[in-house]
Amino acid sequence: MAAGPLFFSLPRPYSENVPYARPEMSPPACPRPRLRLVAAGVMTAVLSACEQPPLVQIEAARKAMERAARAGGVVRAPAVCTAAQAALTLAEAEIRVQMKRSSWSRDYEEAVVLAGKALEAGRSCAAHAQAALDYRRRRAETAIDDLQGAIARTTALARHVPDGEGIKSRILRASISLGEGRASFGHGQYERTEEAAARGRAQIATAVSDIDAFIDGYRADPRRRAWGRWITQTVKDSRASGQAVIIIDKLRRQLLVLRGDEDLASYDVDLGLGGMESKTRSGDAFTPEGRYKITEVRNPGQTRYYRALMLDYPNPDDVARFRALQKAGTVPRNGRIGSNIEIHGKGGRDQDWTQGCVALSNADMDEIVGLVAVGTPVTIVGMIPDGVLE
Amino acid sequence: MKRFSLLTLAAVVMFLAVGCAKPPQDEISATQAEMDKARQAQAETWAANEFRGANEAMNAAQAEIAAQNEKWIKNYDKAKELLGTAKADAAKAAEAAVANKEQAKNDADAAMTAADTAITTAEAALKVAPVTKDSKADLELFKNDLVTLRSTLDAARASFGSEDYKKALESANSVKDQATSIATQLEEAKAKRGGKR
Repeated sequence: MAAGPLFFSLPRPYSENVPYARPEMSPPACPRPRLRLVAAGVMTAVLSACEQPPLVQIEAARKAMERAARAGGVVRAPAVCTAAQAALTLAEAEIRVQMKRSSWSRDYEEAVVLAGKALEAGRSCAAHAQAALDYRRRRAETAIDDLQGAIARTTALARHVPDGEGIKSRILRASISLGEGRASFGHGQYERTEEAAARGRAQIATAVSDIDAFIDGYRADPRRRAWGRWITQTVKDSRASGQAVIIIDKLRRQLLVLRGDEDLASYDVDLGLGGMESKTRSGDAFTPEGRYKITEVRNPGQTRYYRALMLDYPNPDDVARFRALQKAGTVPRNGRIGSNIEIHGKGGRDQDWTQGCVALSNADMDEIVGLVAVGTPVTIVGMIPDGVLE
Repeated sequence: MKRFSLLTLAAVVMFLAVGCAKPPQDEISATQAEMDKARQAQAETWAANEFRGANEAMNAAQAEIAAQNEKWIKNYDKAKELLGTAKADAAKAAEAAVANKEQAKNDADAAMTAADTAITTAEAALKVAPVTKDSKADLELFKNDLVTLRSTLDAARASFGSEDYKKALESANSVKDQATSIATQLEEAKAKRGGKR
């Protein structure tokens, strides 16, 4: 359409061309109806151009929901994220409805409002989901750390008791659960991490309970009276003679060197891998209990265990007990009582591994040989009863 | 003239319709019911943030209603919207309270079990700790500490029984940490000794 006043481009008034129209009745040569039509068309086009769907907000809302999804939105913040998804769906539906309409009848006002709400809801969902994810991560990390520490402490305790109750098996299962938990944590599966840690904790709880029950049972062992008497007598003799003595506490895995009421030294020991019973015969791998003496000191090159203090096992009490067990049929007639029970080196392994001997680290053996001699009394007990060494 | 009469009539009808709008009593009642449900679910304790949001929306709705009541031409649309928000938030708070309370209960239960294991571990470690004249006093102190921790754990169990799960959880975690510390100290003392005095 040409620029300038519109009426110049309009056709000639029809009254000039219509023969029967009376001049005074002809309609005026006025361009207003067409002008109005064109103006309306231009206005519609302009208004349509100004009414745009809120696609920017919708896209931002979608991105927020994607962030939430990566953080497990619907699972971790179900109420907030379900509402956010609903708001987004509603806004998208409204936009689709408007876009299907002809351009001059579209109205995005409602869609703009809904898109704004969807964006706000989406951001809230993302924030809630991330916060929930961070919280679960911290919980899972703490659970794994706690289990790891519990396994270490329980393992240290377990060396004081025999494995007849399957304690080591439980610790192993707890360790397996720890591994499973760590794997799940690495994959961001924090709920599964906590479940694995809970399984591990349950195994540890049972193991600890069993360990504690064994210790309490051992501390109530009827043999403790005999142990107490031996120790009391040993210390009394040491006071009288001024001689150093050795007392070995099997439960505590401890070797004490005393002189009278004076503590000279204390060492950790490894014992016979057979368990906590007292040795009765050859090959049972128990460490004997009783009162002995050092019969020989062997230095490096004289023993395959670095240094050794030979003991006079079996003593008369051991022989008498062995005979009684043979008579009772507990020990075979052709069985042997055993010998070569020593205090020797190559220990410090934090586990029981010997065939009945008492093992110390080489460094500890270097020290102890300076404190004792041939003839030094060595008293081996299941445990030092409370109050005996006051 | 006819047109003018029609327009005037329409205006009067509209005026009457808006000016005679009534407070949204049904919506108020429904929202109050949801708020009550949330309170019954102990949302003030277990979903404090969500319940606070619902409460604020309710207060805003009531303030809006009061403001509209003072006007000649009343419009309760905004109040209805606020009531809708309050109702939805109250429902969410009730749901969150149930879930949070259950989670707190489970967490407290697990924490008490862990605390019990930690105390038992420390007690066992104490029973097999090396005995020397020097260590006797320290071991006695640890023994007394563990007795105290057992009492504290019993108190945590009592809190659990009263559904004070937050208190039970805090107490149990504290007991667990202290018992673990005792067991660790015993182990470290042994390692420091390096097998000898």
